[in-house]
Amino acid sequence: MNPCIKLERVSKIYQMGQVQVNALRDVSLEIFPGEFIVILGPSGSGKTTMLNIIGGLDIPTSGMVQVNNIDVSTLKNHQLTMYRRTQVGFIFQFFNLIPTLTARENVEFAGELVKRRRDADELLAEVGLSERIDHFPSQLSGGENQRVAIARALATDPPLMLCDEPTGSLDFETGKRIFKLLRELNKTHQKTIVIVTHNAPVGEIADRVIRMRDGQVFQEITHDQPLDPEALEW
Amino acid sequence: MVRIPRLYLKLFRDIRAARMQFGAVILIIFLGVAIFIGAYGAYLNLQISYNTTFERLAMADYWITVDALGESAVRKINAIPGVQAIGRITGEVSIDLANEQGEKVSARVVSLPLRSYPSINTIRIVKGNYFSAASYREILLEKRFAEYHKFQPGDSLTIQRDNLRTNFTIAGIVTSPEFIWVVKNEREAMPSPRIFGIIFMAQPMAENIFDMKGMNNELLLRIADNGDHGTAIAEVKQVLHTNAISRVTSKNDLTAIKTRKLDIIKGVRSAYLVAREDQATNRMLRQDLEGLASIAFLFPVMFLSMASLTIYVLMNRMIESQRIQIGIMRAMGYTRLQVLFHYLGYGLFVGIIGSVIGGVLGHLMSDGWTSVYVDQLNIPFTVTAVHWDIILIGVLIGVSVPLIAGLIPAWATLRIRPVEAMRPPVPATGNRGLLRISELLLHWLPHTLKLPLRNIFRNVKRSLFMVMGIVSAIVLILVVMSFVDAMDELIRVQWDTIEDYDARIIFQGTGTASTANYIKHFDGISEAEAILEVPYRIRFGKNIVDSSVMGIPAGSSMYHLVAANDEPIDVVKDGILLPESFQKKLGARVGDILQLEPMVGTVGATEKKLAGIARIPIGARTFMPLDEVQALIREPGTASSILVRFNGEPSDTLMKRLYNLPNVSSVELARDTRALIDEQMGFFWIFVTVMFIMGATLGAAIIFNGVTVNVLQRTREIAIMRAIGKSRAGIAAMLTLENFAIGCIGILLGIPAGRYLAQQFMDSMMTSTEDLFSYTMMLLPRSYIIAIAFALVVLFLSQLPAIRQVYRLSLATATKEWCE
Repeated sequence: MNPCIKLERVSKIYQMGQVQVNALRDVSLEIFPGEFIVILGPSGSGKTTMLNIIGGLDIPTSGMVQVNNIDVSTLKNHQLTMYRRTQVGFIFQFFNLIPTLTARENVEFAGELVKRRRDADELLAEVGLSERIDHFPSQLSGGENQRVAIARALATDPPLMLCDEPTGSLDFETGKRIFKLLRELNKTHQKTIVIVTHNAPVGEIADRVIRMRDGQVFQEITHDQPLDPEALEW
Repeated sequence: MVRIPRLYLKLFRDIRAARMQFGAVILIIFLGVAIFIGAYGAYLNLQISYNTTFERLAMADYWITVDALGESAVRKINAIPGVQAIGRITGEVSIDLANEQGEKVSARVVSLPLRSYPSINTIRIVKGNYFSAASYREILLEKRFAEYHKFQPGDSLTIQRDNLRTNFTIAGIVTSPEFIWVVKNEREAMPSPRIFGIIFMAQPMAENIFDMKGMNNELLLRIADNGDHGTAIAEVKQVLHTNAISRVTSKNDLTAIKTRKLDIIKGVRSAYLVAREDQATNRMLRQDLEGLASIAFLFPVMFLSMASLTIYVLMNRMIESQRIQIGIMRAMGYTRLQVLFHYLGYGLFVGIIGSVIGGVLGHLMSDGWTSVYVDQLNIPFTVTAVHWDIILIGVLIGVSVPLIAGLIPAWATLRIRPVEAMRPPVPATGNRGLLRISELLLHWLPHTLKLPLRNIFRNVKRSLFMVMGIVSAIVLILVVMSFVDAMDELIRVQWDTIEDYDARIIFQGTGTASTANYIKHFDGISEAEAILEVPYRIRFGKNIVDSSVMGIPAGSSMYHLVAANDEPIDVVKDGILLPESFQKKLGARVGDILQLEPMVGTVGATEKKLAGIARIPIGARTFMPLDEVQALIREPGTASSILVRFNGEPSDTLMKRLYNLPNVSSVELARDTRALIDEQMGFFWIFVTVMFIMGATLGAAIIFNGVTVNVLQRTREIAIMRAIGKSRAGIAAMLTLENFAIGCIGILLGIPAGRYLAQQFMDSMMTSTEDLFSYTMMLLPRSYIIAIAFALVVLFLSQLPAIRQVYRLSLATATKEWCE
């Protein structure tokens, strides 16, 4: 099987004032369609930078990034926008919903970008929020907000979902439910899911764990029998 | 149901969430657009009303004054192709009002055909009828004069010319296109209807009274629409020439004194031609309209500039606070242009709403202004039209101003990269240099004072916007108040400083100066002084002004001239005093030699040194010693009027004695003139009141937005302070102190800015009203107090909703968000 995501010797250097920060150093990686990946690492290890580069939010300083046969590293701004629109769904730690739109409208907000969009009500039902579709983010709990964010990420029906600390601002039980939901989506919709977290036990639920330190991948662990998110403990 | 695209829905919901701030911007745009459409629409309505009046009442294109011209000559002129001509008689008379005071007023008689309305400069009957063919002894009165004296059709009136007294019956009350604005002469552009009026009389009767059987002394001409005026006038001159009138002069080619003298020797008869643009009513109305037009332009420019500043600040704040949303939108796949247009949409939305409401109100205002104006001026035909072009221009300006103002912050979204947008920005520490300076200045203060003051330097851009908001409010109030102060100053200087008399006894033509000495001894008179006013043309190099020279006694006790600095100034031997407007027109400086040419007659040409500049707020004229003016025209001991001061209220007996003095045409009471000015100023006060309300509202809206943004941008900072135990009162005091400090900077900058703009407005008003009023830019202490108090009160009140909003925030949520 061909990888859907392929990173070859990817580096990213930030200029912070007079200091150069090597966020990624010669990272090479392959991720295959339908994989459920967890990228683990402490703060500053480069995991979010890598996720952003895969998602077309950031561009590498050097190296090649290929996603679904698209060379993301060479895309122009407009092409990157189209890439994000069709290929990627993002889920963030702080949900980042539009506060002035309801749950349904937030999902439709993303869906309107593509012709083949998924029905917002259906998606919200899928994430268990059919009763809360007309609520604004401020009227929903953290877990509910994150589920809306997941529904929003699915609205354009992207093959790839990138989640940056998706449970970072949620309590344990809610976090578990979110991982369960993501796992279900991975299984039922064959979405490739990449989760970035510093929470090591989360790695247990992944098909593969990629561990990062100082901008480099230092370990990859494959699980033949990933843990059911219900059984997660941290 | 129509489904609104979610990007638009976000826009509407965002606006709803910040409805107070956006409402304030809508209000500002609405005011700017409404003033523009209102004032400009009124200007156009008036222009159309004048033109309609001139057209429907067949206003003449030219007036030609002659000594005498027979009816056959008029018929010949009328026969010139493309020229319509009628002859008439005009002349000055006295009216005996036959009341207890024996009051006499002066009037101008204008003859009309006996049996039919005139074909040029016709009249419109307001009450009563035209002359009945059965009687010559009927007259028509101009409306304002009739209304002032409460004359009705059927009343009788005694007209006196020389020693001939004739009784007339008033047949009707009328309006006339050439007397919408009644001007007595060059010197008296605004005579009170109490002492001067227009009487229309049947031609045969006028011929009798003025002893001009079969003659006319004025010719009215209308040139056909497609006619060539130059050719037509040349042909008219030809006919006049054949009737022994070989010289036709006009405003711009007055014959030199020498030629006039030669004309007398040779027996050359001359005529004086006035074109419609120089006709007194038309000129005054045009000047008045130009004043309105400049206001219609300047105020909206000021309002909309400030609206652009406010929308700029608001959009900056919104885009800063929506950085994450912008990042998310970009991450989801919204293009940069989609994001740009989304944020431009806010400006577009407020622009459309503000402009449409402003357009509707502006149209209503234009109708309102027109009707107030028309009521005041008695314009015979009023036209109020919907000026779609002006409404469209107003709406377009109203839409484009916030759009352009919003473009700069919206453009910034193009540079926002999604990955950066979702990262918290580095808190603003401020310009190190400024902070160091602030530290040096503030190190001795306790932290509670130091923190808010340092905040000003920490985010200079934000502080600057706040300062600009305060400056805008101060400027608005000061500009409007400068109009009020200038008017108060004008009235103060004219009536409380310069004119220190109670009445002016006006002679028909001229009288004797010794009358002053005679009436000084009347019971009830405490002081009397003679003055002599002569129309003159003053020349300096190529520059010319037509005015009158007023001779007043040196050291006059009733005419206290003042210089620009309010210091007393007196007439000077061999010198002439000019008002500032004339000095500017002539480009002369004190000490320069000016050429003086009498407008009529052949004597009096001279040279005089410009001895000083006098403040003449109403009715610009020049001043010389009385005896010198008498000597110039070679009429020693002559006077045109006598100024008197009464001992208390003048009795009927005293007034009767004054009216019965030889050659007196009327007695003008100073209080009447002042009342007339007040009446003329009615529109001005309405305008100033509307401007003040609008300016104050606008100022409040700008400050409100500035303060709200200033507080709301720091939600997190305030939340953290509360989280670490700072009391609400402490935070409120800190914000108040910071806002107060910014307010003080704004006030310090706003005052000179306000003074500068007020001066610009005043200069623009001056150019259009200089023949009537000479405003001095003036800002009294009360105006500064009003402006400062207004800015500070609004500043303090404006922070309350924002502070309340911050109090309501969940500390847990607010401390997680970033707001800087």
